[in-house]
Parts: sequence; structure tokens; C-alpha cells
Amino acid sequence: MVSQVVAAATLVDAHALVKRFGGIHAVDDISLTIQPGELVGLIGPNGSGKTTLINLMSGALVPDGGTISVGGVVMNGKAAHVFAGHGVARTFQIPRLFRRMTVLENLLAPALTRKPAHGHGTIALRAAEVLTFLRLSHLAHGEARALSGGQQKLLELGRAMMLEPRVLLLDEPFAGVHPKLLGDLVERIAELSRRGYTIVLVDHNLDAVRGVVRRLVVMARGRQIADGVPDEVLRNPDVIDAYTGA
Amino acid sequence: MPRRSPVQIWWLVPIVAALALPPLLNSYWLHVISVSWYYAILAASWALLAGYAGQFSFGHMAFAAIGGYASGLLAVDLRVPVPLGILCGFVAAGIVGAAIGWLCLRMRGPYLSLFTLAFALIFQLILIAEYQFTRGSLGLSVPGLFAGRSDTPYYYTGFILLLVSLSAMIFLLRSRVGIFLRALREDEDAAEACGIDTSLYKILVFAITSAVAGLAGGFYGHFVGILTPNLVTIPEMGLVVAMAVVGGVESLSGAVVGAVFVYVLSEVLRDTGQMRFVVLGLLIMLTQRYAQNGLWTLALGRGSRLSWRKPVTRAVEPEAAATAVERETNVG
Repeated sequence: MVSQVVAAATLVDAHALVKRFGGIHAVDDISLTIQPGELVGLIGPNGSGKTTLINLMSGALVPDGGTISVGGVVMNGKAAHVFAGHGVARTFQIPRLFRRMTVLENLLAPALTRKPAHGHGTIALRAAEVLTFLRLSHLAHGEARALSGGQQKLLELGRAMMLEPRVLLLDEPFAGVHPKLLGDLVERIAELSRRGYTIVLVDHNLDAVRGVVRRLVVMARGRQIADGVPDEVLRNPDVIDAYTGA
Repeated sequence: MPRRSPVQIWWLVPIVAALALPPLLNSYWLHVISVSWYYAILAASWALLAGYAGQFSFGHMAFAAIGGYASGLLAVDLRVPVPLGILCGFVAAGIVGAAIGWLCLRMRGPYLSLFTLAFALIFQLILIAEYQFTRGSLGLSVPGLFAGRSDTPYYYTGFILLLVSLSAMIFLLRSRVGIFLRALREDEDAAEACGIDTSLYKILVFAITSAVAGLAGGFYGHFVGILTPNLVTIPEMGLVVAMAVVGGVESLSGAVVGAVFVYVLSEVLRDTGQMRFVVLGLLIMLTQRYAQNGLWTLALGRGSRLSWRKPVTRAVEPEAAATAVERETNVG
């Protein structure tokens, strides 16, 4: 069984984040605090800045303004691998696997960046557990590029899990996934949440997102327009406006 | 006690054969094979840089020249013993390689290739222009590594250097660094997101492969007795790339086999004049069309799968996992 993640008091605090690309404010004065054990949904129309925010929170982009803290440590300007070292794991909108490496090697790569407390055998054991959890054990020695789209999403989730993260940033995990695998993926994410993982889930699939999250944050044109319980947020006129374009 | 697999034992055959070969060769072929060890070290180190880590540098020959000239100049101007000079060339090439790796941190694909090619060409021009130090295009005469005119000691020295450098690179690839380098090749951003310090490993792989190229250059200079800027020409770089590609750019052993095969073939075809380049060109084209992983990996029937991967991945079954990786790999 995959080990429980004990949610410490250390999590992500984004304060007044700003990111501009030329004249476009992709993220405009966003403040967001992620509490331990939360499963937060981050939604918004195309171009609302969700992925940019994830990139800022994972160190892939450097903010033009504001601060980003992980576990109380200000991380502005730090490289993405430093964020990963502080327990921020992420997936990508389009899976970015190590395509010509095996499924197992994809899982070993992040785990080997850390010195294990009980020898490297524990890393292999954990990889085997993650493969079982994701139901990918039978594909362990196959190359990642041979996986279906849904399996690639699962493997990317597993790769992030191998970092034993404090917070998991999942960027559109349901996009392009076959409906038969979608339920499986939703179930896996819900199970991770039950085990104590802190998760930020970005997606367009409102039904899938509202089915698992307990808190929903909505962005539009780089700004945060709502934050709260899913049913209330989805009745918010600003959210309806943003989605209908009214 | 761990059992040796048939594949590992099989590798002893070419090693023993190479050690037993010199008495069977005339002086010409002894020289040819000795030079092929130099190319084999260069092709294998380039395969590590380009094939494994995805850094398509075209400046590799400049590092061989740095090693060769550093050792040669130390021996000529300062009377430094040749073995110590070769060691200094090895270190100098590694330091310059690390600096080039650092400069290339933000470059990928063709930008990296062009940058390193420009570096090599600038270095070649420096070798030509700094006549008072390098004797320019006339070439720098350097003392031999051994007294006497026999090539046999050079044959064995080159072969031992090849074995040592190959073993070191295989050791590196069997460690966790090997997985990190391949992750770097596959996707730098994803590797960063996985916690891999891509800048560190990029600089590291440049430093190591450049140092190995410098070692080869030092050996070559003291073997042939003269160093010229022609060491750094584009055709020389192309030859090393062709050797790695023909043997298998994602296989160190493939690159070694490719280097010896291509160099020996070019000597066999020497009497055909320019036609030998046509034959070699066709060989490269056919390899790229029908065996992109190289003739050696094709001959072994492994495609792109690499034997050293297996120990790392064998431990996937939960019951075997607890001990297997620790026991069978040098991860550390």
C-alpha cells in the first residue's frame, strides 16, 4: 500500500503573484493559500492563467511580482528542481514523460534525487507500490512512449508521487483521457486525497473536478474571481459570466 | 556471490582477442588499430554526451586538441614528463569542458550544436594564429610516450586507456547519474520538475566527456609525434560522429565498435581513393535509414534497449524490490 503522506504545517502560500508576457497579464495579483490535506480545484476558461499559476507555484516560471512560499520558505527565483526538493510535485497539461525510458525508470528518476533513509531497495519497493496503485505493473518494463494517453497521465501522476510530495499540482489530468480511464483517474486522485495528499487540481472537466474537490478556485483573465465550496462557487454570477462570456 | 551473466563473460572475448592481436599484425595494421583506439575513446565519450545526455556538441575535437596541445606544450617547453603532461591535458580539457557546459546551459538542439562548432573553429584558428607557441599549421613536434620506434606499447597503452575510460563511463551510466542524464536528454523541464538539477548534470557531462576526449588527444599526440590544427577540423568531427552513429550513438560499446570498424574500413578502402568516402557515406545513410540505433545494437538484436538498464529495473516485483536495486546497482 502507498504510504500515507503526513501533511505538515508547511504548504504553499502564493501572495499577490504577477506574471506578464509582454503586455499580457497572465497572472494578475493572485493570492492563494493551500492548507494541509486540501484538495483544491482550480478552474477557469481558456487563457485565464491557470497553467501560468501552476508554473509559478512549481518554479517553472519566475514571478514578476509577489512572493511564493513553500513551507514558510520564500522560493522566488529558485529553480524548479529546488521546488521539487521542497516537496512541490507537478504534472503537465500534455504529459511530459521520459519517453524512451521505461515506465519503471520514469518512476525511479525523481526518487533517486533523494537519499533514501533505508537504502535504495526502498525506492524500488515504493516504485512497485506506485505501479500497483496505478495498475501499471504489467507495463513496468515497457517504454513510456508506448503507453496510451490515459496511461501516460497515470504514469505522470505516479512520477510526481515518487517525490513523496507535500503538494501535488495536477495540470489538466483529465484532458484527452478516454472515458473508460477517466473514472479510474478520478478515483485514484480521490484516493490520494483520502490518504492525506495535498492536491491542486486544474481542469476544464467541471463534472470530474466538482466530484472530487472540496474547495474550488476560479480564475478569469489572470485574476481570481471566486474561491469557496464548489456548489456555491458554481452559482456565483461572476463565474457564470466568465464561462458563458456574458 | 553474484553470478556473471553470459553477456558480461562474452565481453572478455574481444578483450582477450585485442590483447593477443599485436604479434599477428604487421607494423602498418598495428599502427592503424592503435589509432583506432584513439577514435574509439572519442566516439564513446561523444556517445555519452550526445546519445545519452542529448547534448549534440560539435566541439568534441577541440577538447581532444586541448588535451593534446596541453600535454605536448608541457613536454616541449617545460620538460614535464609525458604521462604527467597527459594527465594535465585530461584535467585542462575537463575544466574547459565544464566552462563550455556552463555557457551552454540555456542552449538546446541546433543552438548548442552551432555554439560548440563555433568554439571548435575559434580554437582551431587560435592554434593556427598563435604560431610562437603552437608552430601553427606546421605542427608541433612532441616527444613520444615510449622510447623506440615500435607501435606495440602504444597499441597496449591506447587499449588500456580505452578500457579504463569506457569502464568509468559505464560505471557512471550504471549509477543514478545515468538515469538523470537520460532524463535530461528526454525532457529538461520534466527532469527539473522531478528534482533533477539539470544545470549541474549538464556541466558534469560536458566536463567528464571533455576530459576523456582530452585524454585521447594527449595519447594521440605523443603517439603520432606531431600535433596540428587539423585535429579540430569539421571532417574530423564528422568522422567521430559517423563512427558513433554507425556503431550506435546510444551505446558506448556500439560507438567503440563503430569507431574501429569505420577506421579500419577506411584503411581497407584506401586504395580506392575518394571512392572510400562514397562508401562510408552510403554506410552512414543506410545505417540511418534501416538501423537508427546503429549496426552494433542491431547485431546484438537489442534495438535501443541497453543491457546496463536491466539491473536497475529488475527489482519491480514487490517481493524482489527490497533488496535488488541496492545489490545490483551502483546507485549512489
